[in-house]
Amino acid sequence: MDKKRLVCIFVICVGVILGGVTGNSSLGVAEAQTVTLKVWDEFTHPTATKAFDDLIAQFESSNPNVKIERTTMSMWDSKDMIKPAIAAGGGPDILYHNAGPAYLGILFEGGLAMDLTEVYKEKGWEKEFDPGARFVTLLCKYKGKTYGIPFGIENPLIFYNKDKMSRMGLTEPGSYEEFLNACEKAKAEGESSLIWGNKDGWPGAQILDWMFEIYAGKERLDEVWFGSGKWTDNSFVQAAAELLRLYEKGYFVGEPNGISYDDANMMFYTGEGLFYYTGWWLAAETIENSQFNVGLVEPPSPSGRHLIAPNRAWIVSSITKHPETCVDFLDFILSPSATKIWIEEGGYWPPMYINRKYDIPSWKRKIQEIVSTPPFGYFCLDVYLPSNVVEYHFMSTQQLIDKVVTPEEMMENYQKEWERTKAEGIMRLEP
Amino acid sequence: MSKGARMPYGKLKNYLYILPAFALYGFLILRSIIGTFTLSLYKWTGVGPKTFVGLANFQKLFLDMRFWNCIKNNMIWTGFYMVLPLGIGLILATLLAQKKVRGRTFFRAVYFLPCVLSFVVVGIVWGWIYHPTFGVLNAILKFLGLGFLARGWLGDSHWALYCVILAGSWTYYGFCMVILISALQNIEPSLYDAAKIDGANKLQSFWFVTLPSLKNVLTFLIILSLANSFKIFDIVYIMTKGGPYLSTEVTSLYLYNKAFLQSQIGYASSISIVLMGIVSFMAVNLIKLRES
Repeated sequence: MDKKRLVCIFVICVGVILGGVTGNSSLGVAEAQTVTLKVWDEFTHPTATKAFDDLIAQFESSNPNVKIERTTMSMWDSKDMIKPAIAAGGGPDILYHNAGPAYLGILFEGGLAMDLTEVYKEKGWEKEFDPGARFVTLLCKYKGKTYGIPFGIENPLIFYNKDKMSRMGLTEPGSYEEFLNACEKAKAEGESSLIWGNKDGWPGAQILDWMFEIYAGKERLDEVWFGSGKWTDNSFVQAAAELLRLYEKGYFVGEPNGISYDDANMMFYTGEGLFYYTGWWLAAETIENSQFNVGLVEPPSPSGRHLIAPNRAWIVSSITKHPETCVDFLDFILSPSATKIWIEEGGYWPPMYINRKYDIPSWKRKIQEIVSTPPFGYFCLDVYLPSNVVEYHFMSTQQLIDKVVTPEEMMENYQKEWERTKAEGIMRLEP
Repeated sequence: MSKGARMPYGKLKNYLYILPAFALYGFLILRSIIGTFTLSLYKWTGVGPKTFVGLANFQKLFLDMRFWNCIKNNMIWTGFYMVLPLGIGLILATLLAQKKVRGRTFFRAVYFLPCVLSFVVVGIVWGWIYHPTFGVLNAILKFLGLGFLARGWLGDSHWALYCVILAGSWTYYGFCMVILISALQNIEPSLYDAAKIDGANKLQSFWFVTLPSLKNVLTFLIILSLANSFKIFDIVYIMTKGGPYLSTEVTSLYLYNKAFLQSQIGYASSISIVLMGIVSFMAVNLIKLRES
């Protein structure tokens, strides 16, 4: 074929392609009217991701002009990526991210979280919120306005080996004293009482949260955070001393500072230990993977408060081009029909309509009652605390059980970090 | 045309040849350095407006004991990295460079294998080796009747850093071995013949012929060890996250914590600039020392 013919054929092909593109211009205009929402979430577990995909599909079918583009990542990746993404003018329209001053607070400070105060009023959310969600909404409030929607109420749980417990003639502990008696009995029978993997620091911080509730309570924490209270108050020192006492009594397995969280999970699943202190997020996995019958109980405390924290919060980017669509989407995923999917399939407790009948196993019903019944206390203090105090909170129990610090010194360090928060104007909760 | 008229164009031509590579280097490296230095002059959380603070971040840094603790940990890394993997690599290279060693290709491959593993995998596996209850290290110690030495290695602030360094060194000696084998094979055999004639034994040949001949390669590996030990991050993050209570924290991990966990981008940038300065200073002085 000669050169001229080849060129002609090439030109014709290009013309056809260009014509096709421009011929589709009417479709292109219609496509330009499609709204694409970018959503960054952390639903990495298969059941949660499927539940969210189902909800997205339902929303898209009711809103044909809306397309949801989902990006899933771990909490640590989200923390690392969100600031550079938004600073570069990109990032998601809707973000599922940690609430609290160290996380959402930073976005608020940077003017990057949309003020949802009026949206809350329009949609009647806060009126509809269950008591638990209303309790944790303070993590989403800054300068009197609301910048996020708390989602996925979590609580601490003590899992226990039912088979070992019945072999030892013990029953589910209903009080802290009964828990201690059970630990002592387990130790006497040569068993590790409590599995604890503290290499990452935060599991120890969560046990310390429980000790704080037993000895200090929500009131003392409120005094420190919002009043003139100090971390060096004797109640906090007693809490730290109690944790050290439990360690010195030999209730914990091996060397907790050398055991990671994942290894601790594995140890419990394979039958080591009688108790395992962790949280609601591990319930389904623990029941599924353990080689014995698993029981679960809320960590007992004299106040009778249920310690809770939100898993995360839904946040709308202040630079989104589609604020109304974002709000519509959030309103949909918080609706009663969506809540049913979240609870029954996804394994999350949304902020509304928890206290209804759902098709869930009995152990989930137990949790349902806990997270929906006041009074409440603070769980996962790392979500409530400023970033510099969180850092020390994660290493404090490692120092404590290694006898690097005494309980008094540990609480003095908390107080020092708290003073630094105030002196340097680091983001913290407001009353 | 006179020589004088040709010279300027010749020099210009040389610079033009290196311009594309320098432009790429400038864009990727210099631009980042200048950008980081600029950020270090501000207080910034990573979002929102920046506040100019001048050299306040550097002032704060030089008084920051945690930073100096990280530098100390990095120096310990450097000390071990220069001796352990380099030493093991040199011994293995000397043995495997000889033609009469049977299966030397197999051994070279086996010793090089740890090099190809990611630090994440290495960190997880060594984490299991050091595990206090089911780790193989404690099991071996107990088997040998040394159970009193068993401990939670990565949870013990006295041992954790050395345990992590050992795991890191395990991935590096293979690389040193391969480089040194190549260098050993380029040494003139006549030098060894001359040494033999002079009555040198194997050890003396190694000391007076092999080591001086490897001077350039050893300098290169030492500088590489220095740079690697100061930029170490992933294996520490995987194995200990800087714990227990900062005993294994290295400068790059501190930088990461400041930047991404505490949202202090300006301060983290100042750490980055000072770290770059320290490594450059050490590298330049090492090269000068070798040349003198």
